[in-house]
Amino acid sequence: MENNLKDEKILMEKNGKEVECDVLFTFDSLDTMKSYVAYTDNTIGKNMRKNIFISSYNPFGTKLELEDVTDKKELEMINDVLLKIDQEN
Amino acid sequence: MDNIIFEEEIVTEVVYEGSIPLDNRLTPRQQKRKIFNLLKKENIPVIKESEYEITFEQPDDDQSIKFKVTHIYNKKIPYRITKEEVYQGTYILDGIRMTPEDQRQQVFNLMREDGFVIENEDDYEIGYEGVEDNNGISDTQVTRFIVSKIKKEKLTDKEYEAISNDQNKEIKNLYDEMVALREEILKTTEKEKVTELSSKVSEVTEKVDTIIENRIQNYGYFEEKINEYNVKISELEASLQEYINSYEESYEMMKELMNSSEITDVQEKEHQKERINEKSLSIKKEIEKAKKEISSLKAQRTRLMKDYETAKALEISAEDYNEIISSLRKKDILNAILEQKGLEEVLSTSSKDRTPYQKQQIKEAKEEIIKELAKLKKEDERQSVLSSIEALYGIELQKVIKNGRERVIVINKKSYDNIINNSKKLPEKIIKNPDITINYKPGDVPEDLQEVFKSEERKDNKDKFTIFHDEEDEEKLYTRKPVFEKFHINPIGEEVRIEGTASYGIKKEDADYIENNANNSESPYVVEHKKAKVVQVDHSPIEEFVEVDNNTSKEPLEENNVQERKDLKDKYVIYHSEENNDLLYATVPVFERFNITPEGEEVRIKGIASYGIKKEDVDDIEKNASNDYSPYIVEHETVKVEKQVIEPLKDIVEENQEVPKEEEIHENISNASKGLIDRITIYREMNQSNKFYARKPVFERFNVETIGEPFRISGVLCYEIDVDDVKKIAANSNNDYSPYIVSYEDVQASREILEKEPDVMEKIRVEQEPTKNHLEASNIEVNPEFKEELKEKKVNYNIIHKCPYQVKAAVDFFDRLSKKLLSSEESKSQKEQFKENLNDLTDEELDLLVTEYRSDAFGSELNSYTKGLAYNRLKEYGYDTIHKINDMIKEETVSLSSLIKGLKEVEEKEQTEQDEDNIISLEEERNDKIGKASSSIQVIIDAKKELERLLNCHIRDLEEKFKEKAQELEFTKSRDNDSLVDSLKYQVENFTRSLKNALINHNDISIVQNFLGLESCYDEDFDHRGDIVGRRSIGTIYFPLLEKFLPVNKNNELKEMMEEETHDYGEEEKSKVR
Repeated sequence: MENNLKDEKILMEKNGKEVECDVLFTFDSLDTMKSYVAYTDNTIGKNMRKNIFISSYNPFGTKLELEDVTDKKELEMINDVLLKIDQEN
Repeated sequence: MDNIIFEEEIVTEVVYEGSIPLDNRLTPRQQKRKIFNLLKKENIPVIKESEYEITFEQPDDDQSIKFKVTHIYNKKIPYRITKEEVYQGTYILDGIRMTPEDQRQQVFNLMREDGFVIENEDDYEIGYEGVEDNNGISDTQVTRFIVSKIKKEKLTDKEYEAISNDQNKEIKNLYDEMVALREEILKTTEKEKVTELSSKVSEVTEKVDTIIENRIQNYGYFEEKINEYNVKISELEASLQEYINSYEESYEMMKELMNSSEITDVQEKEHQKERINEKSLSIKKEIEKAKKEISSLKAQRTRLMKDYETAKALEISAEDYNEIISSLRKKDILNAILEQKGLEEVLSTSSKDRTPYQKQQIKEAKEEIIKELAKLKKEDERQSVLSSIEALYGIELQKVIKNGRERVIVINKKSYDNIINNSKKLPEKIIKNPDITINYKPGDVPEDLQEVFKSEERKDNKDKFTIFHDEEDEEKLYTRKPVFEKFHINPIGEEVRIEGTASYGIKKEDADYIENNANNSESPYVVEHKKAKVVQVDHSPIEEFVEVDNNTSKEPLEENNVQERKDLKDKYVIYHSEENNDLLYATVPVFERFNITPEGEEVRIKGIASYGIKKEDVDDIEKNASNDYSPYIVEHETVKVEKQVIEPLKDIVEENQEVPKEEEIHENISNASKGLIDRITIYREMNQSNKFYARKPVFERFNVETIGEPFRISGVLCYEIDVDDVKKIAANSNNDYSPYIVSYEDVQASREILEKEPDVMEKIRVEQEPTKNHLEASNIEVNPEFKEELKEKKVNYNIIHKCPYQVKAAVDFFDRLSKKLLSSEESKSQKEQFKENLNDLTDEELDLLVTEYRSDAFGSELNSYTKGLAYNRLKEYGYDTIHKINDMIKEETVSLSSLIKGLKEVEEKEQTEQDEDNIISLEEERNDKIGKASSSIQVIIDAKKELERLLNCHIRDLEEKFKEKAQELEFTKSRDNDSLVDSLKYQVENFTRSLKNALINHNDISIVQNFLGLESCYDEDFDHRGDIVGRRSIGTIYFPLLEKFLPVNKNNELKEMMEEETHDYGEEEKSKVR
């Protein structure tokens, strides 16, 4: 399947300005019936690490919006996904 | 042999050409470093960086710059030198003195005259034969010269190797020759011969030296090794440089952030931190030591308090009490008394194996003994406790002590052998029975036999017992508790602290006794005397210790930490009755936590159900709270104890009502006036008047516990309820402001018993549904650039799961995100299965879901998708239920209006009817209609309550939807309670109160009257100007419910009816209302 994540952008509003974020990876979970997206505005945190934001999307919800991920199990899953991507490299 | 010479030549070799990105921030040095790193990456060996020259070209663009790396080095090149004689001649040196150079030119001139072509004079060598004068050539001498042409040829690799081999062979030959010559010299005795041979050796040696000097060496191996080292050194230098650079960068960054004095401050702070940490550690040790002391003091204090209380209760002095306790502390004495009291069997069981009952028996017996001894002591203070024991229990104490049970000490075989071997050294009395077990008799010197035999080999390791002398009064002796235990002697006085450890007074004779036994070589112990400061234990009240007790943390460094620990401890409060301080109470958690059985009936303390607790139980709880590591603390509080008297059903109704606050009363009335009076149904077993059942919500509402397994009564899920709980619920129901009324229903004993409460969620849950602990991800799609970045492992990441900014994505991106998820087969099958499960739910189960599974349950049990489906199903059910309720109310209201109309007609007929039989018949008809109207009203009230329950289901969004839907219904059009004028509010309260009474008393006519009255209050068109009992002379009487369903507008008739019926209120009710 053609991977066109390179072309996807997410807009982030920072200090009244729109910043384009690169989409790094996406995945679904049948357990939560949600989709997840990781994206970055390529900023570096105070600890000199690159910031990656993770949001979820509920396709069954009524609004078209990305939501924060707060559930511990979901966070663990995100970690697993990152590890998997890294290990496959 | 060819003459070989080596000449050094400068070699210039371009080793790399490339380009690097332009970066003005880099210093030339950093650039060079970058290029060398690049060469390293490209596997181009750099042996000596100083031999490399980097040249840059002009940049092509703004992005990069080209460069060239040239290796410049010296190389030894071998040349073969050959000589060829090309000319010879003589001449008479008859001219002036010539320099060698002039002489050389003279020769070349001669050669040219002979037709020689000389291209390069340097290629020729001229040798002179005959006289040669370094100071010049004489005027008369003839000299001969030979001119040779020198040829210098660079050797090929093969030639180089061949020559090298020849040289080696030659060296070997010369070496052999030399060895032979040396042997010959050794054999020769003739001096001359030796001189000749020596001269030959010198020649050979000279030849060897010449060859070696000109030898072509194979440097390859060494060069390779040197290169390796050079590479390693170069690498290390490079990484060192990186560190230096990184350090310098960090330092520069730090300088940007801080000035030099701040940097010094930071460094100083670091040092300080280390010093503070060391200090903290030592303080920590001190704190721990202090804590141990506090803990020990607290335990002692608790003991003393207990003793004090007991002594007080026994009406004897503390000294007398101590004497009794000290005597009973001697196990043999206590056991002898307990045996006298018939507890031999209990005593024969080891204390570990005793049952709780046996322990209780001993405890009670001990208390009894103390009481008995205290009584005797009270009667005659001068009599000692020991003589009282002898007198009271007929025990000869001397005998008891002498004939105490033998203590068996098991020792290993080696020790036993030692005993036998060393028996001569031992005091005879110890060895009584040379068996594996050694007898020990109480009263004898309690030496530890194993220790005795070890004493020989460990003189310096003997147990050391210290006798402390009070530094203020040396006659006062003290020692530690283990000494008393070891030597079976009693301490005197109260506990004191010596060097922070609990100690007790010891009698002089006891101290001497211990010391005497230490004075032999076999003694396992030594006695030491020491002067010490004796600190008396403080017996101050508990409060003074509270703060300290709370600091019993194992990590006491920081105050916060201490505070945290304090908060972490469970607190249990023991309540003392105001009236009698000895009556102790505690709340249920205390009994549950310590597995104690409460005593007596329930009482109320600060409105909380509490029970009596035994003093000994309190003591036990406190005892365990008095150490450092106890997870709880105990506090005491004197409070007012309210007795909770459980009276028979009817009698308690008035007395035990809990009077709610005014606002609560109003709220209850407000609800009740909307027809929302809760009707609590208690099912009563048909033939057993003390067996009751109720629905689950009743238990939850009144926070009472269910009994046994669930079962269904007429399809309704019920549990058995305790008769006392029924009484309590009923007690609070029958008042004006109670939000509920209780009704009883007799049921048959036969019912369907369920093993467990039905779990609706389990029924609808789909396999692989989301209760799993580990969530699975699928359809992972990765941006190749991110993949690459991960692969390079150059970047570390922060994962932020709560984005602090507002984010947006294109609609098609959302589509793309959800497409795979929505179209997956698994998702589809789950969806179908879940839908099926939802459709299979009965109304009862749906009702349970709506009313008992709050939104939280949905949140954790269902995922967003299934939650959506469940939401839809519940919405469907809710709408359906609202319609059903609407229909039901509508039907009942129509029936009610018809009944009221009929009622009016009957009453009219009654007024004109003369015939008594007919009057009776009409009266019966009237009563029948009133009964039916009352039933309809009760159905309407229940239906409204049902609706209210649905409208307050607490399922987010759904609740709002239900409320919205209910607005569309016909019966909801009524005036809001808040919008009522005060006089009307007052009426509403009165009607509500009367309606409740009527419902409780099953007074049908009153139910009808008050219901109609209440309904009229909510009519917007109704203008009340009459008095409170409804003499409404002005305005339109309007029944919001009735008006809708009456076949004709009967307002006037109803008005009249209301006027008449409200007269039936009765005088009592009226006066109450007024």
